[in-house]
Amino acid sequence: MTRRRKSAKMSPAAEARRPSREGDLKRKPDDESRRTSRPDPLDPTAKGKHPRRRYQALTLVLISGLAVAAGAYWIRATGKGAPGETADGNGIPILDSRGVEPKVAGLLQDARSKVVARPNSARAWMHFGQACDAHHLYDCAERCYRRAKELSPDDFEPVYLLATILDLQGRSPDETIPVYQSAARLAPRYAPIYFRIGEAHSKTGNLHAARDAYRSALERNPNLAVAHRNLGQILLRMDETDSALQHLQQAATLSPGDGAVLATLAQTYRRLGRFEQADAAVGRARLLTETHGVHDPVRNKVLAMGVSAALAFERGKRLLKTGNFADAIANLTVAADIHPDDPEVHSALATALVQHREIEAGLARFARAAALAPLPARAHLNWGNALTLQGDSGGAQDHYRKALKIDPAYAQAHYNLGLLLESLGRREEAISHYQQAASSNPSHPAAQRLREIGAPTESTDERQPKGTPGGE
Amino acid sequence: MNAPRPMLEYFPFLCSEPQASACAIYHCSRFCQEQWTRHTKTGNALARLAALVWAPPAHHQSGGRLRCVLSISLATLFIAACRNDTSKETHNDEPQTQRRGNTQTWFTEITDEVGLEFTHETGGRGDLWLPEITGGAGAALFDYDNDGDLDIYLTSAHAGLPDRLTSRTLTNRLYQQEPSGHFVDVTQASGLGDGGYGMGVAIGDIDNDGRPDVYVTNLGPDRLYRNRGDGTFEDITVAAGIDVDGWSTSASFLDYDRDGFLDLFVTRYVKHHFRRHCTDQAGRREYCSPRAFVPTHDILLHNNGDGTFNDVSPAAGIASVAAAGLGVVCADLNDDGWMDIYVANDAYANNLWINQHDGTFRDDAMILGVAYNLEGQPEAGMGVLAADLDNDLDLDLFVTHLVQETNTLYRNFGAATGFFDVSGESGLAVSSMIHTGFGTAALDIELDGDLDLVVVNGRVKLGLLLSGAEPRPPWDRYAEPNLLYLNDGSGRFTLSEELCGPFCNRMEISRGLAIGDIDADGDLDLLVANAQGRARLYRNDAPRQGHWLMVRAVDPALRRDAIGAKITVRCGERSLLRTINRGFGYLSSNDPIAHFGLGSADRVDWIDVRWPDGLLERFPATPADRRIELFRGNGNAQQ
Repeated sequence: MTRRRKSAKMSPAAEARRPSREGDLKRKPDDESRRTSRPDPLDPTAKGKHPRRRYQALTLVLISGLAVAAGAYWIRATGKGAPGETADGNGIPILDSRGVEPKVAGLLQDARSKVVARPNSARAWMHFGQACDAHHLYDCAERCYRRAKELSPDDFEPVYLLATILDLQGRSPDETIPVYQSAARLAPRYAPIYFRIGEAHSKTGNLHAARDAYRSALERNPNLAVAHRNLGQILLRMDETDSALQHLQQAATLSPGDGAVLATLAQTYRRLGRFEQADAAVGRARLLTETHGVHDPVRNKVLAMGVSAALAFERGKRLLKTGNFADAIANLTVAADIHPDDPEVHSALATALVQHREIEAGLARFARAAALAPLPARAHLNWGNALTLQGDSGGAQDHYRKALKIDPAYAQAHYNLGLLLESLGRREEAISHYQQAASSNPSHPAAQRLREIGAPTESTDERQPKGTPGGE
Repeated sequence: MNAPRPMLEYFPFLCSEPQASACAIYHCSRFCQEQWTRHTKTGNALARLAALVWAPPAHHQSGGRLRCVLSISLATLFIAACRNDTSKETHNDEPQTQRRGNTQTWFTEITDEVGLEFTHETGGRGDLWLPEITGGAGAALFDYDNDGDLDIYLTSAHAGLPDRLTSRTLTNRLYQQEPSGHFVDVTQASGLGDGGYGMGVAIGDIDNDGRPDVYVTNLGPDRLYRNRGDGTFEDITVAAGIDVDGWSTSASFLDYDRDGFLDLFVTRYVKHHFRRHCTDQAGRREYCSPRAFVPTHDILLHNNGDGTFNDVSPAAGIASVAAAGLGVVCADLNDDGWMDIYVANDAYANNLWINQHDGTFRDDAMILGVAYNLEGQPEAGMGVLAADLDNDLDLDLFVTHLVQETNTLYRNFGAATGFFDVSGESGLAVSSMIHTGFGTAALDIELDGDLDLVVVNGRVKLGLLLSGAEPRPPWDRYAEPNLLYLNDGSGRFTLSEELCGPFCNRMEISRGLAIGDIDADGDLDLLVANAQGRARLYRNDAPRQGHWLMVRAVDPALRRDAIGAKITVRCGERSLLRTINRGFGYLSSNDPIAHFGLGSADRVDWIDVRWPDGLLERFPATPADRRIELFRGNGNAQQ
């Protein structure tokens, strides 16, 4: 307030030179008049308006200015409909649909129209929020979840989804944790909440709180692999190595494809002086590129609403990994139809088709992908697999070798090429490839195959691959 | 010491006006300035309007009362705008911190003062090619002419990908510092005007002639320039046998085999091509993620000592990993006396290449705890540094990351234990989650004896427009403020925006960051390279809390800085560790000086130097507040 008062005050120099209103009326020296060129207010012939009308105008402008300022302040304070804002006068998000895929725009418009039709329906707001959330329109989603929460304060989902949205926007744990805690009060048995609270605490460095939250998650769902993994990490940090090891081993059992679990397990073994186990864990971790997230049915429901090509592609890849090839093909076809020039989509679709034993269609997709861009090693591996299934051993060899040219330490490509060569009677070459595959991971099937055919398992290349994909 | 604010540029003449309304606006703007720490578009628009109303004196001859009326109305609107924009910033942009009005600025921008005129162009024309947003804008501080002061080299892109790769209209620039502190563009005379689609720069003396040479990374073929010693450089890429094509990013010189010649590690990103377009989850065109392309392996070039290099990546084991590399730092991280290499990968697990002492490396990132973050996630690594951030005499690792991820500090708990992600505990996690970090550096800003951190930011995906974003649309939606963290001496950091001044308040798309004592006053200054914007120089004007010492470690037999040397000073009960290293951060090269803030100590009791070949020498006591050169062989060899 002091500053406001100061703002109306003039500098001393300006004060000294300021002509008073009274002085204006009285003084009319020629030089002053010339200097200012102001019309004499008492002279009816003078140009300009009558003083009273001028003051009226002044008052009018002042009042309008104040009105505009007050309006701007009110708009900001209430969060309603300011220019450039993303909500209308009723607080319903307005979406800029420029560039948005038509299917996405249609879904959002439909969800929004339901809110317009029933502005007091928590369900309508939730649906709109989920539609926005699914397409990463977080500002819109946040507004909708907040409104849904106001309309239905005892409903768990808007509160929980609001918390996750805040998290996804990078908001401070100081802001997100209380919202998660509110959600936990409404659904105390829902384990993912506690997992996310644990993650938030670990970001603030509050390891004890993080540990307790992960334990709470595991009390509710003892099979939550990621909670075991993160708790193991926290315990390792807290020098509780034995407990850490237990949780990490449990995580590895529950989620054998999670590379991060094996990496931390390796670190734990190393600390315990169990170097062989550490090396073995690292070897396995290097073959796994996936790091798993928390299984969260509430969030999954949101993600399932996504209709864009990017989301269909992500979903398709996920389904491909879980072995649901038919649904993977459906989703990847949607993505490929929207983005016919995307080589990654065609490549993934090709893999799904081959896995679904639609070999011809798969090979056509691989060819289309290759025409668009250089393919990664994994795609050449899968292309080689398709040709093997079709009986084209020459073509298959070509593609396995292309995969190995891109990634010389690609164990799966070595192994598959070895199998093919062995079937063609080229035993020595096959052994060489088996050995290279086994060198990166002693538990790789290639090592088993070497034992079966009575060949030595020593590797010709000591290098360890990292971040290399597994075969599909 | 406050930086001039653009908003006020329109007002100075008003202060001398006799009219009350004029001064009302002036004071109103002062009020706004106190409320705002950054000017806003609304503020600027109103300020321009005010300037029109109260046009220069020649226009003051008429319409005084009308102006008065309009001015008061404008003043009212001004206050409204102030309130509006301030609340917007706090709500949307920076929930964790309040930006307060500066009472003192620790970093003063001197870009104009020293005549540094460089504007980076990405060449973006709406196609959203990944190199436009991820790369470019590298920076180097080095004394190319050996005249004792730091000169500047900046990388550039130019018009339009992909034809940009063949149409070389803009080049990298070299700026020579004159004795007055002014910078002069000497690109043409020097021959350093590389015309490639510039990414980063690494500086190192490849032929041990005492003159720093320049390696430029590009989207396209990289180039090596040899310093002739007469102010000019020659392109010796072909003669040196260097054939690094594709997309290189950060690079760093190191002597990994202790043969006395600097070898070179080049991080490489992905196999980019121009047939790939990406969309966001709503289907709008957006820059691709690196996962949309095939990753590539990094490259290790062995210096043969005769002016040529060999690509030894496969034999050394480096080529066994393909990932999207962006940042690299080379240092002895396990304290065995041999240089190791840490690579920050974008969306892939990081690599820690531990030197096996036989010309090969083993990636121990997973087993040592620096591949993933505390949640077991691979992050989008960008910039990286190795420094003793907790004053326990070993090197910790700090990596900058994408929005929604934290910047990550891996604390070194010793060779037996490895590293742990302590970002949360150290206070670095939460404040970084809303930013996308690139360049970074550790320096003792206020000379109190611990290393503080600076991070420069800039998004890679469209985000909410932040007030005061400087680039023109559509780039303004990629702009972010930078960050400064002060260390409490134990490795706990506090975000210090109120002291930071324009370095933190400017909203730009920052990428490269280089540090060095540009004005030779004993503290380290900052050079920030912005994508699609001006490079900026910030002078360190922080109030000093102690004495300082700058150490240059030179091997006279090699006639160059001992890159990789570890310098430990002892002052009283305290020991401090720094390294001689040029290559850290993002796409950038720094002054290879070991800079120590000494706090209250006005002398050091001794200085230990662990030379890159493993020799440990102790040098005698020296007074503080000076630059010293330590020559290998002049100290007392230690066991």
